[in-house]
Amino acid sequence: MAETKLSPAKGDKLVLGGHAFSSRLLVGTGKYATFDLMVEALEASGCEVVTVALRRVDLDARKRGEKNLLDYLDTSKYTILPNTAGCFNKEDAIRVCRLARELEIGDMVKLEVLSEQKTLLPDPIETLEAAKVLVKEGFTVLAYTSDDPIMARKLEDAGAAAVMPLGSPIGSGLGILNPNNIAIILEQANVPIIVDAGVGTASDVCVAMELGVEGVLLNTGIAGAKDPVSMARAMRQACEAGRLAH
Amino acid sequence: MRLRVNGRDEEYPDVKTAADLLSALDVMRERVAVMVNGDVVRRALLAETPLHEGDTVEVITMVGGG
Repeated sequence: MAETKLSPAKGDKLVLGGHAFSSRLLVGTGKYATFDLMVEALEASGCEVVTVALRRVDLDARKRGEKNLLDYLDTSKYTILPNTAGCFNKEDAIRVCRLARELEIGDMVKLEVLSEQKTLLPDPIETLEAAKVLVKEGFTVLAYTSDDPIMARKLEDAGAAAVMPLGSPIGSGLGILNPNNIAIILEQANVPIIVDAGVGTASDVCVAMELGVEGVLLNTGIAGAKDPVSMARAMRQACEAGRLAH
Repeated sequence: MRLRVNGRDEEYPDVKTAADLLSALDVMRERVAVMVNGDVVRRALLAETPLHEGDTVEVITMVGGG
């Protein structure tokens, strides 16, 4: 088992961008059947950080009086982590982060620049170039990337506050496909490593935490489960179990 | 004046600034970020950002995502 250079902080908190979190599970707000279910699942997961995407306000829906995410998500209870989902080049990702900054929810962003819609695999070049610009502009960049240890190191060198290698492609539920690569990434890392994407079920979370990652980010694994609230609860326990076992 | 807001061309009488537009759209300032002609508008400057005929405005908010 690879040893991580990071020693647990006092009280064993996940430290990101100057914030200390007790929960090492970061959960997405997308793909739930209903907003009420999302609220219940997030609560059951015990998470403190939730991701959101940025999109145009649906002006027609507003006219119809339809509710949206912010009518349900308690933004005082959670740390909101905006992502750059839907961006396929660095310019768009940078623009989305600058927009996110004007929401005044903090400077932490999940940088995600995908290469294509079909596989949803990250574009390493665009991601790295966007990271360099965003770090210079003062963002706390949590960089989503492949499980390539070289890219992980380059992102860290570029100033990413955390590097987030995928376990497997977004939404695939294939779990941690290459634990050896994750172990190599951990061995060389001087910033928190958070597995993000591909987590399918509770054991995947436990496996990731046992490897020594600082946290796990997931969305489909909970939102797409038959019983999201139970899965959220299971993943919370799996996250704690994996951390203790490590 | 005529503005393209979130991809749609509409007439907005009584709108002079980005802040006016948000009021006209009945959108809460705290929930959105705004771009005018591709430039991100600082929230503190919404009321001082003038809009002109034919401007393209994007009003962006948080939605579900992973």
